[in-house]
Amino acid sequence: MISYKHTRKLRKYRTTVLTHDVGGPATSAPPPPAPPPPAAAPPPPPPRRSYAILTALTFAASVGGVYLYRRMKPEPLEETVTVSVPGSVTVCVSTETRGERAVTDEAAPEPVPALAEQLPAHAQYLVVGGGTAAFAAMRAIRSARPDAQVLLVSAEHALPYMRPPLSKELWREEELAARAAHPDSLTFAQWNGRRRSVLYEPGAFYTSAERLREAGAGAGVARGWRVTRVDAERRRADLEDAAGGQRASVTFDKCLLAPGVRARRLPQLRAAAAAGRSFAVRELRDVARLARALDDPRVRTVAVVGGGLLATELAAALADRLRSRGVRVALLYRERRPLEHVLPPYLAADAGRRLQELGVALLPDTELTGCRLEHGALRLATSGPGELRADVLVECVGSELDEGLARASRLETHPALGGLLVNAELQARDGVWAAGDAACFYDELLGRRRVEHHDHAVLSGRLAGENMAAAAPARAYRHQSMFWSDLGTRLGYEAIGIIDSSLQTVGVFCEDAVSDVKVEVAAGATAKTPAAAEAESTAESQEMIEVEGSARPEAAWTESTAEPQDKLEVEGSAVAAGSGERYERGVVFYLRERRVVGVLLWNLFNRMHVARQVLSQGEFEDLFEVAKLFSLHEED
Amino acid sequence: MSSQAELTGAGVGGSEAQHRVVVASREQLSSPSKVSLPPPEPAPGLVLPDGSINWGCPCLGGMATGPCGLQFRDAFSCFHYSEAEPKGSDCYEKFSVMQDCMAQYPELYGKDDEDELAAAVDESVAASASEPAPAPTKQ
Repeated sequence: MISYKHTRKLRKYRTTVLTHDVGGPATSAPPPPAPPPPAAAPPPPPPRRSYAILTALTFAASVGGVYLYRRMKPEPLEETVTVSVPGSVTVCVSTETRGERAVTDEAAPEPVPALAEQLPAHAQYLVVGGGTAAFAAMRAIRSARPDAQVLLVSAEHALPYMRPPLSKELWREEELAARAAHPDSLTFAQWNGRRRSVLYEPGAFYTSAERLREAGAGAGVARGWRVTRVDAERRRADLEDAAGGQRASVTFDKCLLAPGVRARRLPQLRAAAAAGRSFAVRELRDVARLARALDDPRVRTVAVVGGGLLATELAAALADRLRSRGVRVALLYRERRPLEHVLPPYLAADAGRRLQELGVALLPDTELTGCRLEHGALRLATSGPGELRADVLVECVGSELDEGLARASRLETHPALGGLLVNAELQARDGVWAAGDAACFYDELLGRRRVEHHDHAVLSGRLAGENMAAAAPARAYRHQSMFWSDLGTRLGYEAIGIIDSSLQTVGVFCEDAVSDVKVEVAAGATAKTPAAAEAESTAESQEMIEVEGSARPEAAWTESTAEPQDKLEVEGSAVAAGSGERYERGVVFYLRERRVVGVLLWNLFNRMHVARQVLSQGEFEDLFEVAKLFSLHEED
Repeated sequence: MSSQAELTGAGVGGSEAQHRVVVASREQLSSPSKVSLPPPEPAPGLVLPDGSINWGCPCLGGMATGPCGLQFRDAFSCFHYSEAEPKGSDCYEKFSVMQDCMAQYPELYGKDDEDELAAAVDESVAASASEPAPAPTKQ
């Protein structure tokens, strides 16, 4: 199992490398995280070491940069999915009024710098946000203008860090609750077993506020500070600290808005959130809190609410983490199948079965209508019959822009897509740009879009930074970002373009990569009868859960008695299962008026460069001929 | 919303069905495609086609943007454009400045990957020594 996992990850890594090699490293590669230290030069310098480094650099350059590129290549940052930038609201706070403060047991850390007067009065480049897009922009600006003074303003207290591990690798870490509370030293194991920091750069990389204040060159981060308003005409931003006690203003030459989005929270779970039982996962602090809650030995059932990318990925990761403790993980969603808005129905059904195999109990067609805390457990009222019981909830129900900044700054937002409106060059106003999750941009190829993925944050942040630095004429945001997701170790998918199942799709699979399956339940328990072919009948699966629940009280949700919990849990997870078609490997084209606007690679790696070319050409006579380009018959 | 499964090998174009599934045989899939795509855009590396240094190359990590970015650029530019024999031998001063700077940031320019990096560098230098020297011979 382990070796399998390893190969799988290895393949992905190759995918990433290949994408860059073929698709353009400089444009598609993420901002390099921790730089390979160029030799620890001992202070009394015999410059041999750096000399050697430079020799190496030049050598590598002379052979096309291949060796060095691969040697120093940043890790696959474009893993995607959880992207966002500092959400503006802490986890238990109502998202509606900023005044309502979180019921947290930790004191808000002091902002850095602590006092308003320690902030620089002016920033050549002011970046609102401290996430991936903000960091990528800073890199680009400083690359183009080495003497630039860049100030990032982040509502979070952590230095800029990568978010994909928040729903992936981190959940394989021991002592997560304690460690996630200290981002500076938080590391995780990558695909190859090597450990890396979640931070893009350690603290030493950044220039202190004092230095920036003296108008020195460098990049600094004001942390625990929030930009409340940007005045484009007067080139001035208003700031306040996280506690809202201090205000400051910073003038700028150019400003990037990369504030990210914040987790949407369900009003019916507000009380549960306030009681520290319902969580969002957007920031590292959220991870620390959720991990701490899950460490409670009394936790028997965790319900992940939502059916999208984050929800499914997190449910799979939590099931993996908590399996040995016998904690049950359920996925509760309004749709008929998980990922239904992303994948065509047959793949969504396949994904659902794979989640079940990982031990995730599926509760489709379920809308949460209420929640109360009783005898230490959450009782959930749903659109279905009966009440469900859970100990911890994870809300993965999408995200939203903090409209406050846009309103106060009189910036235009998109009524349907949300986000700050920018043109193809990612510019919102004269002197003001936007990137990342919060930007609603014009894509020359595919029209107006807003994208919430890691790779997009990297690429849009970088382009915005380049355009702001203006070392070259402004360019349009043309490079298509990608995303990838994993459900366990046996399914990974990557995609580019518009991946929306309301579009027409054409999927092509090799016949030996399609099979009929019965759900095999984790832990080898006997699977339930192959019920409905696709397990898509609402009534049916719901009924079966209820039946299970009442026949064996402990199944999913009911109050625990002394029943053999494990067995029941396993059966519970098989309940809504069933048989169906398993798609091992293939490609799906998403079409809008005959034009290919999205390409999904299902368990198919190292082919993103082909997908990119297909997307760029767009129209084809015969998609089967296009599918052939992906070598679907070859298993890597 | 409908799904349609078919076992076919040709003529997949538009269709009434919203979601079409095509399951094809190995033979069909491995036959040459009639579609050819333009070659991907060349990827700029560390050195741009005009011979100048691409400071935005991800391969540089934080070197060009960090606290010793200016010093690094000076040293690397000097080396890159050096016509001295051996190449870079006229850049000693700039290297020293860079190293002095780096020495102030051991957290950034030290530890972790040092051994691996050193090994990689040595390997690379060895490789470069066995090849014709990158630049000097022509001058």
